[in-house]
Amino acid sequence: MNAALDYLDAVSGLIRNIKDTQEEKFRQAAEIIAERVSGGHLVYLWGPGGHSSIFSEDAMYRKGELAAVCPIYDANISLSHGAAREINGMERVEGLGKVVVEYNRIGAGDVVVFGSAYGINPVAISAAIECRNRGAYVISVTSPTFSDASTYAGARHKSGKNLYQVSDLYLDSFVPYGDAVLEYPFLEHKIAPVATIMQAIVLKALLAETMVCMKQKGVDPFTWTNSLQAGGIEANSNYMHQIWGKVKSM
Amino acid sequence: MEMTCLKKLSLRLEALAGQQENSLQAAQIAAQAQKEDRLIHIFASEVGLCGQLNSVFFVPGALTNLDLILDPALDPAHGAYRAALCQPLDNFAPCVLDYYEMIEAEDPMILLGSDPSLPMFAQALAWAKEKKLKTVAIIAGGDCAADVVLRTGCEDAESGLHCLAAGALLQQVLAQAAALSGDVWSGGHFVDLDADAQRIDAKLYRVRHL
Repeated sequence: MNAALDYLDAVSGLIRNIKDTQEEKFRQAAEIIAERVSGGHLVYLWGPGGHSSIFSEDAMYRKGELAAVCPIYDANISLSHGAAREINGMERVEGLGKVVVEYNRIGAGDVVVFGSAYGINPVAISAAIECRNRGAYVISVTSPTFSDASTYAGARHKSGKNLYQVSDLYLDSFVPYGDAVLEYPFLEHKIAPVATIMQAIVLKALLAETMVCMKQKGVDPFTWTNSLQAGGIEANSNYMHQIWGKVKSM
Repeated sequence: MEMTCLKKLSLRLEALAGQQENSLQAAQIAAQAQKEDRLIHIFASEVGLCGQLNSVFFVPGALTNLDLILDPALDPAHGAYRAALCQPLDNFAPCVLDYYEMIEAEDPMILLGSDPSLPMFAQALAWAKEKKLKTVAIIAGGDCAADVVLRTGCEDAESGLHCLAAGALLQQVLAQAAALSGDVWSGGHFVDLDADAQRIDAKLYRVRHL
């Protein structure tokens, strides 16, 4: 037995599920994002939850990544200011979803990619609903299997709806209910969660498809150069000036 | 009998009347910047002084173009001891200030410190002068190369009083500037978000911490 290899096998299996079932959804989502970005919009990325917030942080300012993104880092919905504060409290304050959408001025013509594997918390659901009310297109990366099986009543949005049900389009990250994937007879509980890595993989795949889709539409997607390499900061500076202020997480 | 804190503060605030001329000069610089729609940047180089900035930002009656330099390195929410460890680091203040992309030559910058020879303050002032900003310093005492200097006159051992006195001088300068320019946030206890909606839209992407 090797738990490390068991974990990698489990993740490989989940990735295989995504490859086998989500191809058309990747294409549809990439088409929509490419169209909006080509029209001058940024694509908002937000993981409205404790560990979910890592989802959007990873896409920010890194080599080879689509630069036309506006990742939302909200101090209330982040592990950085206290994991228990966020998970046990803030993500259940339903009104925060609307506040974050308003503060970021998300509106008609924008596209927002929400990332939440569990897909049930009040901030995520209320924010997605608010975005659609304002005319934005909502894509979510989530696990309906997880959401549907969830019995965490106290942590749910009052409507009882799940993120995939309030999105225009969703991509399934296949995170299993309970999150942890390894089970051994000598351990009382399952171990080794996969949600963060599965969510991030789906987003990476989606942004890669988006950049190719943009190129096929005749638009060169601007991607970041590694700012640590010689000339890197200079290569990034013009685009950075364009988005400065608008992308508050820059 | 030992003088009470309130008595000491009262005397210290009364003594600030001697800074009236410099205060007016600083206010004129800020008011002119507001009229030209320039941002007025405010940087506090020490943890204790950072708290003074919040009371002038986005509150009814305050100038709308204030731009606070708020960095985690100087915020006790991220560790007061950690902030003290950062204080002497070489090239630290320029890294903080470089992040504020909207700072432009000829903008005013108000810098709060105690001893102007301390690294964080000295580096920030040097940075501001290199960028050709109009500089206003609010310090405890000592020599300072800022364009306008206001001094609280507090001794080293009076850091708490100095923070309050520096805050009072900052309030004084900005109140005078507000009276001269008239462009202030509306509202009672809080800014009136509906009445000021257009102003908020205009500043939201310019002022980093709005």
